Amino acid sequence: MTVAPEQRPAPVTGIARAQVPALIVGIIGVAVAGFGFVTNAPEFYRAWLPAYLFWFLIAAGSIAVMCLQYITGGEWGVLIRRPLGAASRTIPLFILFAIPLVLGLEHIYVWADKAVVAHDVLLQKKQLYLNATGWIIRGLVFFALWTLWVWRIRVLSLDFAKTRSPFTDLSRRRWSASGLLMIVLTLSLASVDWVMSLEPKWYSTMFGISFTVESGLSAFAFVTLFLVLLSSTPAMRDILKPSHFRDLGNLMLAFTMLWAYTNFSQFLLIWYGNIKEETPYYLKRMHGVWGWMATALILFHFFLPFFLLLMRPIKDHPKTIGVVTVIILFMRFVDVYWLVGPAHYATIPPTFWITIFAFLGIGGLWLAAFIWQLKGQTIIPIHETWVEEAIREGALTRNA
Amino acid sequence: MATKDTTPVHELRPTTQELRIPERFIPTPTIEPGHNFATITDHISTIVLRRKTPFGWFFGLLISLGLVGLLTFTISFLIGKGVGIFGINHPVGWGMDIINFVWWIGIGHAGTLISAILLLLRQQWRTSINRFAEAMTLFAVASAGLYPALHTGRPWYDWWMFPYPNTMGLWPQFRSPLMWDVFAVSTYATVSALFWYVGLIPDLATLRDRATKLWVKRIYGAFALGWRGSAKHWYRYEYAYLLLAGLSTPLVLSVHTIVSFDFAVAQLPGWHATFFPPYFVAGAVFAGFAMVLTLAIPARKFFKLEDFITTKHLENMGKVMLATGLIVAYAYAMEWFYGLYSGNVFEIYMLKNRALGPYKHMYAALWICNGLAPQLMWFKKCRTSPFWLFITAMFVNVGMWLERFVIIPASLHRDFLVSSWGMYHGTKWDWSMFIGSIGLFFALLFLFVRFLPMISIFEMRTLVPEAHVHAHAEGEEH
Repeated sequence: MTVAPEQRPAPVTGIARAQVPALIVGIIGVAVAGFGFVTNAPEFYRAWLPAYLFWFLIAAGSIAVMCLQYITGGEWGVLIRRPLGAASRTIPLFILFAIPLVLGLEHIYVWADKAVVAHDVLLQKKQLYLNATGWIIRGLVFFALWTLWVWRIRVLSLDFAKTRSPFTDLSRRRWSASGLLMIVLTLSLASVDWVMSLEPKWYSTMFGISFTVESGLSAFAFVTLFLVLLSSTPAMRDILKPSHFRDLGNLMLAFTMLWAYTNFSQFLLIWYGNIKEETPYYLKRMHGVWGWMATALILFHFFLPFFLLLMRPIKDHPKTIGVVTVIILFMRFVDVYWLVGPAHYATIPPTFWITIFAFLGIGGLWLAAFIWQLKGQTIIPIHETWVEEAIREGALTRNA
Repeated sequence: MATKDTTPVHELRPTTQELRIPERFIPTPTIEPGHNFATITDHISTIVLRRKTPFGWFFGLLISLGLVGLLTFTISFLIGKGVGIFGINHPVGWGMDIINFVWWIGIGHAGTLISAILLLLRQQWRTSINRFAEAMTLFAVASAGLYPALHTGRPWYDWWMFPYPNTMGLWPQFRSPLMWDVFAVSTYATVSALFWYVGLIPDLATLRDRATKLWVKRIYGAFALGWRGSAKHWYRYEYAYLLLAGLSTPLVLSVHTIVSFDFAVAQLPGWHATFFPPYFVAGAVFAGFAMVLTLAIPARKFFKLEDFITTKHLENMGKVMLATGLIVAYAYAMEWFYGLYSGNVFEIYMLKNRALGPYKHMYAALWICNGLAPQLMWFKKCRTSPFWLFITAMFVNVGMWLERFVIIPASLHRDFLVSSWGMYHGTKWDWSMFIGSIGLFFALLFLFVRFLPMISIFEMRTLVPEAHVHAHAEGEEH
């Protein structure tokens, strides 16, 4: 129990073994989805967006949570620093994944469709902001900022591993503090460009905030699931303790509640205000299959994880909390699809299979990249401050 | 004070100069070294029991009571004349009453946040400021409660706001957020008061045991509810306190969320914004921490409590102020972004009117107070300097009042129809009521610091090395 991490045999988690299968799934997924491109290109573009957003939110949320962790230095996050770092470093990959979005811009976003804009005065007015060039430039700026911060934090972390200089730690904290500010602002603006402008006449000031909260929840659920999968390996069996999962469970609980809070507030205020500019957004999403999805979101994106995460025995056991993370991640996808889908379709379209394969494709490739970034280092950041405290269960339970 | 006769263990350790750690990386303590159980109890309880009441205290209380007099006078005049004495008019039906209500309620958020949320997050630094902040919360809520009660115009009918079965079959309008306010604020006040009182019980018993005069003993004894400090008492106490913390946590969010609904459910540009709930909650925490700093910085100097309210506390509060200030600034900026993005003429006019209309100076001052001033907190020098913290906190106190002014009359006075535009200015009665409520707040605070321990004695005891002997022994067994 008290063996110093340095003296352990090199951990064998077997994550690396998953890289090739992930890559294969990714390639097959993209290839099958690509078949959709050949048969019906506009549908392919539209189907690509939700799959893209789901995985993007995990990577972007990882940047935010990583920054939060480096600023607060809380023990809750020491064991997830490495997976968060690896997930955040996959962010440039999403420029590649965005190629179908750029190609299909006019099929995905009404404001990019010249024929529609020609007959719509408001959309013409909005061309000042909502135009293809602006959309692409803004996207590139976002990615440049994200990559810059991820890269700086990585360099500083590597330097810290070597020198353990408090000055490096300080400058990493500064980058993280400014990074958190940067990511909240950029994600808010990106949410407008990528999701909200699907219905270009609708707007809600809460949207950017919910999008940021959703990214945080996605990231927490993903890294928790990752630790759950590691918890049965010989390398991590003795290290991961119930208290680690409990901390992460509490954070997921907090983000689940925040998700409900932001979304409920937005809904309530729009319902109450009852203005014709705003209500169509929810009217569409409350009827037919979208209405069922909305109900499912209330029940399984909020109530179920909420009650499960209130219970300590569920948070403490890797198996049970693993189930909760799977529920959350699945509902994250439902939520993303519910945000995007109704903008184009009255019901789930027959081309939904493209979304599924795009989901598998992007997911497989992304996971392969994630594992690639994670390989060749210890999962536990053994050189970091507080790592001993975080590993020692007593430190966590004493105040609990 | 009593540190001289105790063993200065910290002096035996190598100094930071010997270790060559740059000074900025030395963690500041939550309690200055050299204290033990006895010195803590002594230091805090003598303020209440032994020390001669300082002249400054009488002076402060006198001024505050004078202002309470002004408040009573205003209220009497208000009841005699009606709300017409205020500056409200058509179209600005909500003026300084609502501004001041929201301002006070916002200030009343820090106490419960510090006590409940920081307790659940296991933040030890809450210990020396929680009692003080909770008291501040209660007094702020009391000041806030005056406004809506009196703004009804006929405060003797205020009980109509509560849903009680009656022969006339009349019920309050449950669909109105103003009604939700009644429940949210009264729940908040009740739970905060309970939380504060439960936390006081062990200390009241300490005061009872240390008091020398019989009648003083009797009074503290009655409020201590027969506390004997047995293991069973402590067990029940800890349980109750944790439960109350759990109860209070959602209330911190719900009160200001509902206050924000008062505005956001309307269709008025400048009010109808879906991000109002989190924006208001962040603003409330921002204002609350600013007020805690405003009060704690002079109080720690006056009562010589620098050992207990250390630089660490001040710095952490500065950090919270920065974080919440950034959220508020985000909201100000996003208001512009979404307003322009919307392409809605009324939204765009509202923004223009804020920046260039008749209230433009207030809007500019708002940005300086809430947008610019808190940025000082990025610098460790400012975060650890009581002077700069105090200055920043004062800016925020003013800024948060201006924010409500900009939101309420500055949105109301020019809505959709040019023919219904108007102007709003507070009258002297608006101001006398506001200044009077500040007097009430301070009068209650002065009484509190004189008659109750302003820092939790028994919780401070858990911070000294003496309290950790057992824990260390336990840790070594593993």
